[in-house]
Amino acid sequence: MKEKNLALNFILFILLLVTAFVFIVPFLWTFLTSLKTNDEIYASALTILPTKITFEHYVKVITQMGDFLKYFRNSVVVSLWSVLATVVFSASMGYAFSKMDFKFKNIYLGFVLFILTLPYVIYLIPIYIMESKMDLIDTAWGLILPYIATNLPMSVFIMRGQFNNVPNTLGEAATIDGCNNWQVFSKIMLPVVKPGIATVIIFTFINVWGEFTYGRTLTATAKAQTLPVGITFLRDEAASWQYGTLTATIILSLIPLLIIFLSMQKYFISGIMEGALKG
Amino acid sequence: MKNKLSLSLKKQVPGYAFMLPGFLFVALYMGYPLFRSLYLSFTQYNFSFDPQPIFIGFNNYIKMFSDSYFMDALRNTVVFTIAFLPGVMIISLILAMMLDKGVRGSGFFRTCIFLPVVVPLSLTGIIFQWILNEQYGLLNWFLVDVLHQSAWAQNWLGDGNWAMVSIIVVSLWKNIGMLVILFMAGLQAISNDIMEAARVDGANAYQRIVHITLPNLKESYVICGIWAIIQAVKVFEQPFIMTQGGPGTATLVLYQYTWINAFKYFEMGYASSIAYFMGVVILVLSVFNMFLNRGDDAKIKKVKV
Repeated sequence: MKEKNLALNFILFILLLVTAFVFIVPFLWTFLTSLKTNDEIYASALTILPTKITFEHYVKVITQMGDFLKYFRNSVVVSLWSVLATVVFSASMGYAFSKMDFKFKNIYLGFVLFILTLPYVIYLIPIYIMESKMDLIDTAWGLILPYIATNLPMSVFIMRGQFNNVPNTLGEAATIDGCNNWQVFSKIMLPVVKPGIATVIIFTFINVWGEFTYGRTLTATAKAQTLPVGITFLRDEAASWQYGTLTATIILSLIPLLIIFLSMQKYFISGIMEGALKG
Repeated sequence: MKNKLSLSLKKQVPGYAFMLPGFLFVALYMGYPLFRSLYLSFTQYNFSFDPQPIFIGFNNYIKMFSDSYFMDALRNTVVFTIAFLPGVMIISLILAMMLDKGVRGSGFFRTCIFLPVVVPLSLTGIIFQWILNEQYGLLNWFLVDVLHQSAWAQNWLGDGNWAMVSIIVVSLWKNIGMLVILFMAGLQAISNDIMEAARVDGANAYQRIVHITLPNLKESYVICGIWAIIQAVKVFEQPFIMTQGGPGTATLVLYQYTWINAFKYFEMGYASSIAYFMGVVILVLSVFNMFLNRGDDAKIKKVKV
């Protein structure tokens, strides 16, 4: 019995190893391509490993491609504000939905969950019209405001689940001790739901850092374009942008994302799992 | 319940105070647009020419079914959904069950499989364009130079049929990680006691999977199903970035056709009606999926005891 299990586990291990490899091949290939010279990239005989490692593409992207740095800065600015606002608002909304009573509470909650299921282009059309009239197209705020709104429903759901786990007696005890609503929330409740906040941060960051459709629609120039949007424009300027520079750009765009994802993976995955179980 | 009815206004103030600031964003950027585009879908409204939307009733909804581009996009979306839905569900479930066994390295493998979920589609789309390139691409190199099957090499994104296949495969690659996690959550929720009991009763691995694991994942089927339906009907970035809907209209999908109508031709009314058409399709499919997997509660409870 034991030996059979061992063999089975080994087969399973190999199968998973191959699958995992297939899943990361595109990233490995991008990384390897970014280290090759142009001659090697476009040579008729394809090589897997670069024969001579070069960082020329990275140097070129950073020093000569001014737009890349603009895209990068835009992505950082938009992500930071969107994450910050989403955390603050989702924490207070989640708290209200979980621990407080008010009229139409369940209608609000149902509404928030309903809008999650519809295709987001439904919202994008009026948003575009609205932002055109308010001159918000091609500005950072023109992206940040809709990003906060689109990330809130899921985040509120996560935070509400977190607050539901906190026993009511904790807040009641603090109220008896003379804390007002705000103090109960900020001093007693928030520290308990830190894991939820971490989940919201990583969810929102990943969503915003990679968001394409809204970014593509609500911006027009490098002034406000974020990385995922800008990079497709870089690609289209084929003359100066070959796959060497393009892959280097992709790797550079991925670094912040990978740092955040790998360091906070635990919260991300447990967030999804908890959401699924409560579904 | 009782005190909810007699809730005084004063008692509700703190709740609203905590909720309203964030809710204003949702109301302004999702609530208002939800109703606005519903209204627009019944109007003729070209954003660059028409000063005001003109109400035309159901004309947009009638017009779309005689619009050959719309019909192409609809057909492509249906083809995509039919291939993608079962594909993503089955592969994810199998991978989740494999990872659930907890062999060495499972955590690392899970991270690898999950990585495409977090990496932006616009970046992975460009990577795949490069890999699927007919001349310099990694895939054709692998087929011809490693496997020595020159006949298998294709113009993956340039040929109509293969372009759709490529889009589907890239979408599977992108989304499987998410469903693996969701299915793993479902698997972990199945209590070990039943499994042990079945094992003691002499059920073999196959019987345990068919009679215990699969029937006990109903909740996961609903969640994963809804998630996959939403992903399938609103597929957009893969074709938009990798093929621009081409060649011809071979990979034109509904979401993309909506986008083109709205932001290239500025036909906001017509675009809204297609967007709402998609929304209704998602809702109908989601309800159908829930109906399909409606909990046979009595049975599940019996097993769970």
